[in-house]
Amino acid sequence: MSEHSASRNTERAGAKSAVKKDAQGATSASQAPLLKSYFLNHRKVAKQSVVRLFRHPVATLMNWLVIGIAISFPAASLLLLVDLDDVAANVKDGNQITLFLKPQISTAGGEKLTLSLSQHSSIEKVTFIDKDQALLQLKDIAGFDEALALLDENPLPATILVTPSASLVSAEQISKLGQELGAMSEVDRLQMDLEWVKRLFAIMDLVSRIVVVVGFLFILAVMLVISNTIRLAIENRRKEITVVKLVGGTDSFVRRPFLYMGLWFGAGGALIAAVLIELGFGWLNQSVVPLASSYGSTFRLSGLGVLSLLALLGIGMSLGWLGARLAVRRHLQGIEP
Amino acid sequence: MICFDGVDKHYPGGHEALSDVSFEIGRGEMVFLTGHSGAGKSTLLKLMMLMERPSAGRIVVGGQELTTIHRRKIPYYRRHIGVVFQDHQLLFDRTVFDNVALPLEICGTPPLEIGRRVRAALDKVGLLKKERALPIHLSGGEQQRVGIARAVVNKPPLLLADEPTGNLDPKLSADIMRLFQQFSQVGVTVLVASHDFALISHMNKRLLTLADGRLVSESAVPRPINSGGRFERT
Ligand SMILES: Nc1ncnc2c1ncn2[C@@H]1O[C@H](COP(=O)(O)OP(=O)(O)OP(=O)(O)O)[C@@H](O)[C@H]1O
Ligand SMILES: [Mg+2]
Repeated sequence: MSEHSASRNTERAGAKSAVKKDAQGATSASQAPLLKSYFLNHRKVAKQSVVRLFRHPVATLMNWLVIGIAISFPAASLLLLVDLDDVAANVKDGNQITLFLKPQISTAGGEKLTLSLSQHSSIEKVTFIDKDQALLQLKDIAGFDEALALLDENPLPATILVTPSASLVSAEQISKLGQELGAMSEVDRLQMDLEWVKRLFAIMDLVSRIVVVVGFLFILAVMLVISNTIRLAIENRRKEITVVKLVGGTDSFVRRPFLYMGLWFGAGGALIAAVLIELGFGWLNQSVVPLASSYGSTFRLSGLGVLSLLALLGIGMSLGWLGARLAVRRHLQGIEP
Repeated sequence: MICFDGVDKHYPGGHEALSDVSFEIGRGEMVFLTGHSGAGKSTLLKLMMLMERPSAGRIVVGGQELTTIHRRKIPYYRRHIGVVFQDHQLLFDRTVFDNVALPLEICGTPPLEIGRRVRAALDKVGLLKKERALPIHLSGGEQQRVGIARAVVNKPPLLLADEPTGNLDPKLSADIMRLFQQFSQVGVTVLVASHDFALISHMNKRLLTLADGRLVSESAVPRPINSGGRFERT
């Protein structure tokens, strides 16, 4: 016994710093491989969290669908707005004034009026469309010819399309021209595209504001859905977290699998959203393309390009990561061995 | 290596699990901790693992003052301690190999090195053939040995074991004790909590005895504290 305690006392002096010395030796000697194995661990965890997701394929698919649907709404609205913006920009160049002539005005009278208008100093171009031409144009639009066949006579008025000269820039000048033209005895009614364009822009502004607000709410919803899913995952792996912490796992090691999980949820959701958008736009184009071509336009909803697909993926993954981060912050701290 | 100074531990229920416990253990020493069930052995080990905090007193382990340690430093502190838990604390959704590899993975050990060291540790506890098995398919004793392999795999300077031979037959128990002894011979400090008097007396090591949370005796020669054991037949 005395032998024991003697050796104990001599060892005790050097014992205090023993652990520390070991630790420092270990870290400084292996800095470079440590960095490499840090990335190896990232790769491994990333892979494992994918495997884990596919272990519950139905639940995972459900999550992806929920996230995908929620992301697809703001994304699709944004794409639509961009497309409409292009259309509106084209329309804006027009500044056309359409004069609807009184029904009793003959084609010859219309042509005469057109000729006199073309002499007008503030008018660039005048086009006369007589009743028959108007009817023909309308017949080109799918579905209308059957409806028109039911009518005994042509109900359409003759019209004159007036393009104001480029020297008229302000809305005021154009509306003054409009008033002058509207006062002519042959003119029944006139439509100024300028007003229409203004109204279109106002509506689009309103719509884009609504899209921003609702989109923001949807994005918040995506984050909360992901955060809640991660919270459940954390609950399910409580035991594992405890053990990892007990053998010396740092906070970042413990949270890594959950952050990757969020990333994959976001990525999967974004892909689902991409598919939904492509399907939806394809379906809409089936009616948009004929409608646009009836106006002589080749307009179609452009859908996702490579860039916007990547952006969608990036946004989805960021949302996933943020959602996971939220859950991890709130629930991982509480799990201590 | 380990220094307890007037340590008290009350659990929230008001129960006094440890009171005024003071002792010191030097580097490379192998010490047994014994006492009746509920005496506070596990509590004492948990305090060293920072799974519990003392209500009063000071604990210093490996030069680290445990009462003032920063939260962020706890993982790095724990990496220096190999622990065999009374309830194993294995992960049932990974193989034996992955369970044992966990402490190495956390430290960022390169994969080849992990493979080498995990197999060496499994070999020491006689489970090399089971590396691909899931812990759920192992017997209680085998699970316990997986826990032991995990505790020793990264060659920690301090080894804590809570009833490491609780489910093992006498021969395996003796093997494990020999393993621990080998560790202490190369400078690892070993503290083993156990009821197994036959084994403790066989080892002839320093012995700390707890009774109702108090350190009642400290001796190199074990002597049973309540010879009228609970499982004695009447
Ligand atoms: N988490 C806890 N909350 C409240 N009381 C606890 C807790 N853990 C342990 N105790 C109490 O503290 C006392 C000591 O428990 P401990 O687990 O340290 O005993 P032990 O010596 O390890 O017993 P055994 O040999 O049965 O494992 C017991 O009376 C127990 O009821
Ligand atoms: Mg115990």
